[in-house]
Amino acid sequence: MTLERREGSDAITDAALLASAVQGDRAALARLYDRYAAPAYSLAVRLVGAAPAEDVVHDTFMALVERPGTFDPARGSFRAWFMTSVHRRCLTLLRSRQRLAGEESLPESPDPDPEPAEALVQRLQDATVRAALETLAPPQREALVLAYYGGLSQTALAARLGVPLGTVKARMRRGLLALRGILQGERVDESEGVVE
Amino acid sequence: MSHEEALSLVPIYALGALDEDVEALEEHLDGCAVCGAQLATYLETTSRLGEAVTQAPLPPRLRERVLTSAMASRPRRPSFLRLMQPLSRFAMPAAAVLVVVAIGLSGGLAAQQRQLHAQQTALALDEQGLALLTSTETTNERLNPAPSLGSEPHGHWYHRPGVSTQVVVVEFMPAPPAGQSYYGWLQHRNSSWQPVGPIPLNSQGYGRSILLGSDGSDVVAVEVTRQTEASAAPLGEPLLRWAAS
Repeated sequence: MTLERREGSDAITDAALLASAVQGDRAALARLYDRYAAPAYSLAVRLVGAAPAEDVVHDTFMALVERPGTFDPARGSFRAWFMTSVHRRCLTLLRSRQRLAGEESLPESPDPDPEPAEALVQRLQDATVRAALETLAPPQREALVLAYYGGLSQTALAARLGVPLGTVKARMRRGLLALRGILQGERVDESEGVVE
Repeated sequence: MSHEEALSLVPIYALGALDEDVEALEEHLDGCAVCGAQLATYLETTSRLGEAVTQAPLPPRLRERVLTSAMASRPRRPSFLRLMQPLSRFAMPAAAVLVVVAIGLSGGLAAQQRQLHAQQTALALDEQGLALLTSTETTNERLNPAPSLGSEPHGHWYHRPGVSTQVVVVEFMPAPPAGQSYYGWLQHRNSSWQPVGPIPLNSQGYGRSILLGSDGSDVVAVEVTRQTEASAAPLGEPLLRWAAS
């Protein structure tokens, strides 16, 4: 699944639509919804399930119009900001579920029923992203996938993988750096982390 | 938190996996253009991960639910300053002029339309600057401080061949004396000077200015001065400077 990019046929920028929506322009908000609701909802379904996903998307749009200043163009595109907001809301929900499941004494303990990283990758619909992830060294891919799609914090990830925290952080750092380079079409030097 | 520590944590933060030092990192991000630009590129990557999942059909009722409740709950009288918050760390002269114009007008539809136009114009300019800062092909030159400033204040000049946008960023700058502002300058190969414009600072001593219209390919020096008013060429000694070797 790929979003229609702002540079495409729909030339009105996200920032302009947001400014109009905050002024009460329902049509502008509808266009933002039509651009981003589908990928946002799909991500939320993947992370927290269908019913909570609906609330996550709803609440993210609500926060957007109530507190438009939380979107800072200096920190990235609207698309990235919106997907990040949805992801963070899902992580909050996932981690509170873990605590409610009786893990108060180990709030960062791993998902009790985690899906293997390789299975998560194979279920991705975007072949480009899937291929890019498969290019990474397996430990880096595992760390990235379990962190992003599994919602595991660095501490939880270290506990699950049975490796030092520093190792997990290095794998995430190198893995995301390499993935960024691959998706941007760069040549990535091995020392930058394609091979750990 | 040091810059190096922050830079090493940015990818983990982008993944949502950081569970310690989050506040310290966010505080650093508020004042560091380099880490901010890195975060922006990492969030572009993580958002690709988010978009890569199997598509789930949207519940038909969700669109109406979102539109109805969002329109009902939006601020009735939105704070102008709050709307402009995204620009507070990325202020630019053109936006400042438009904002002053918008604020100077009384209420009414015409004022609201001008205000909205100002926001849209400023945001569009902001996005052009952001696109440059986050491009992997952008060149970044460091502006070093004069001895009188100490070692921490510094600046960066971002440019990219073929892209008619340049950004001058200053960081950790002391607040200028009352009545003075920081101004950016580009010196061309023929020795002429081109003003970048005033560079307002935020509370962390961070500021930036965007210049449209040229790609900086013939720029041989970049300076930041502190002066009481705009001028055709820099007044006084540079406080920050980079020069081609």
